[in-house]
Amino acid sequence: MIDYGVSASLQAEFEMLRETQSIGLQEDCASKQYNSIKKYSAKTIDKLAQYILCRNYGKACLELAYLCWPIVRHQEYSKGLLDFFWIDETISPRKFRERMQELAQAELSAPVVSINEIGLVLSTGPQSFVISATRVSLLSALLELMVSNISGVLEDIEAHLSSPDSKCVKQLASHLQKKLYAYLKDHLPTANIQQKYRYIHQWVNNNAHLRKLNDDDVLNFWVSAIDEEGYVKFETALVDIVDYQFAEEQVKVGRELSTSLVDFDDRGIDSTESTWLYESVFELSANEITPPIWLTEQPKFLNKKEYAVVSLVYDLGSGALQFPMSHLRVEVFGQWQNLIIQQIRNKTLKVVDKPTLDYELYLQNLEVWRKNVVNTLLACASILYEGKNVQCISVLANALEYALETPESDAFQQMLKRLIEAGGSDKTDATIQFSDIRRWVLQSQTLNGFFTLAKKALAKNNRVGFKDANDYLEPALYEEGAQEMARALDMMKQITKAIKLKLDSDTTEEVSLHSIFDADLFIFKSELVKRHGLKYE
Amino acid sequence: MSNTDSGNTGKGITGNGDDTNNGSNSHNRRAQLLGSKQASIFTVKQQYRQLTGRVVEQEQKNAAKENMRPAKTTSKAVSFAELVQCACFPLTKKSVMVKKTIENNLALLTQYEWILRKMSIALSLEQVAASTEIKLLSRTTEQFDLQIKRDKSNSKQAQVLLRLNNVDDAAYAKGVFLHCVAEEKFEVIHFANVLDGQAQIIVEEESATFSLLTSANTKLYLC
Repeated sequence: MIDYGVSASLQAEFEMLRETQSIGLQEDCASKQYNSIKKYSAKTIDKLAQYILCRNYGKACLELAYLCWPIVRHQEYSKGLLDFFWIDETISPRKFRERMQELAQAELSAPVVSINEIGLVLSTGPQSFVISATRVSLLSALLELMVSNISGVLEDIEAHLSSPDSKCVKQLASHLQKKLYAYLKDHLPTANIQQKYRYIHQWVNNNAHLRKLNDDDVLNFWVSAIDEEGYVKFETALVDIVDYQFAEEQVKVGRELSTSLVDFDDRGIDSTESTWLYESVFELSANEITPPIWLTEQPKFLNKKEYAVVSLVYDLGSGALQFPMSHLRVEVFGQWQNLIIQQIRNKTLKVVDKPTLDYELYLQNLEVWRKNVVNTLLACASILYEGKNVQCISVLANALEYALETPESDAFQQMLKRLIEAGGSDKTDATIQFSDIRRWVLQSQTLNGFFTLAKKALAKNNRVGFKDANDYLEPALYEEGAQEMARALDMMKQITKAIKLKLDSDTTEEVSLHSIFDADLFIFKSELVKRHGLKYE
Repeated sequence: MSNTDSGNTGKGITGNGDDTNNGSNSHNRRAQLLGSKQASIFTVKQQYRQLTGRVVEQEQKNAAKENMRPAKTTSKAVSFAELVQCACFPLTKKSVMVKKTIENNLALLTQYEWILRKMSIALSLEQVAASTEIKLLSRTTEQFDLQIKRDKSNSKQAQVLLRLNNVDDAAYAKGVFLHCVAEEKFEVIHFANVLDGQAQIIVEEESATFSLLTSANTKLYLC
């Protein structure tokens, strides 16, 4: 198989990193109950992927080198790299602080370390370098990636860092960076993707020059790309068009490169370039292009089936909203195509002359999904309320926004406003205390009723992280999960709204979801016959 | 005629239409960055999708893995973290599986030995012996003393006696592991109970453990 974008082996590396298990807890539960706790959070590995792809790892290499310095230099306290990063895994902020405290209290030769509110401070003479305690997990993942793929890297680190002079740290950082560059060189083959980009770019210039792309474009692009490699699936056409549009927009909103583009250093890529790329792709998009797959883990906000409903929009971000009909087509006809491809692969091809869903059925299923997700949001609100967390009120408001018809949701917002104002003082959202919320619940029958509703939703929820008080995790996780779910609800709401709008706006003739489906069925059927050689009567 | 018929009609988007077919990746990357910012953003976004992975696809991958489990144990790469786990808990089911992979992969074995060396409280490297045929029945180091005694009543068994010079039994609360490593093989002996710095265990004379333990070419790591 031809490597495309990212080599199969680098993909496997990342999968392995995501699955890497923590060693610490294993010892506690002995051999009896094999409890698999993941060493790295999904977010940590996502961030590492972002750095690696943009080759924006210069700073991380320097931080890692600084972090390893006291560990290698003061082994009598640190017990060395193996113990620090693996055996007695010191990568959570809390554990990191605890363990570094021991080093900070000892009387050490250079480097001298201390702890401040950010994390670890390394002092060498008048200069100091700070490593945030929350970065350690990411730095550890970077080290883990290097250890698996660059031979002798731990020995190199130990050899470089034996000196009390901080110059050795910078030398190590540059050494690591070069090694990483050399390794990645063979694992990020971009030629195919660039060719794809050129193909789309040309198509857009010829067919939709200087205007906004729409659903018809996606369909036309797919139909016309029948002989182009990589466009068998309709879904790919949508994904690529959205990515194309994303690239155009990020350049428009992004900052200009200030330095000359010709200025490459010996690592083959200028660090300004990599920073620019990283900012343009990830920071400017506020990470909305990172699918929150952790929603299906602990706590289990969504089950896999529920996640699958929004998988596409999470993947595409707000770029998907511009193509509501294409979304519908992927979910209905794209699924059909996947089924056909699967059957061809397994040689169990049965002639199916229709997708399992039609558009109306899809939208009905979406309604069921919406209700389930709203219930999970309510359960989150209830957990936060039990934990006396102020955020319970905004999560509740979010849940109600998607649970109720607009007027009722507005009524709820107004009620909240009244309650806040009735509190007399000049309180804004930021200064609400949990005691205020408790008072409002006593004052307002309606609010009380909604929290009771939330409590009921929680009682019915038996998933990991929702079972009972012993099962609850940190409140921040529920806040974050609730935010992501609200984002999904919002995107799906916008998509369905856009579909309905399209139906209403077409007044020239009788247009219904049925008639659109029938027309699409005709197009897709003939395309799938062409692409997969299906026979149908 | 042939040079105009390249089939590549994307006009100068990367500034270099040929870079897809030849030239190194770094060259590609440079051309890409110099030519089109859009193209590089597009590329990174597509690559990122491959490294984040959608749940549905992961499920399919998992399903595929289930189907080919037997192959997986020998072919799948082992992570460094798994090596450390294997060294720390060598007797778990998973470690026994990982062990087979390590034995067949020199790079992994080198890493594994590095881990053992770091973890060990004492070690005994290869011994000088007159012949590799000769069985070595005792080893002495500064930290420990190992003796292998053939059982007189049972010719098929031998007794392995370990005497540690540090008699602090609290340090051995979980017992000690003796990792025996030769070129392409390794075995581990678990002395579960250490009393007054001493422990013993019976091994079968026909076993791989016995032959490793008595070979001069074996390195011993006490963890």
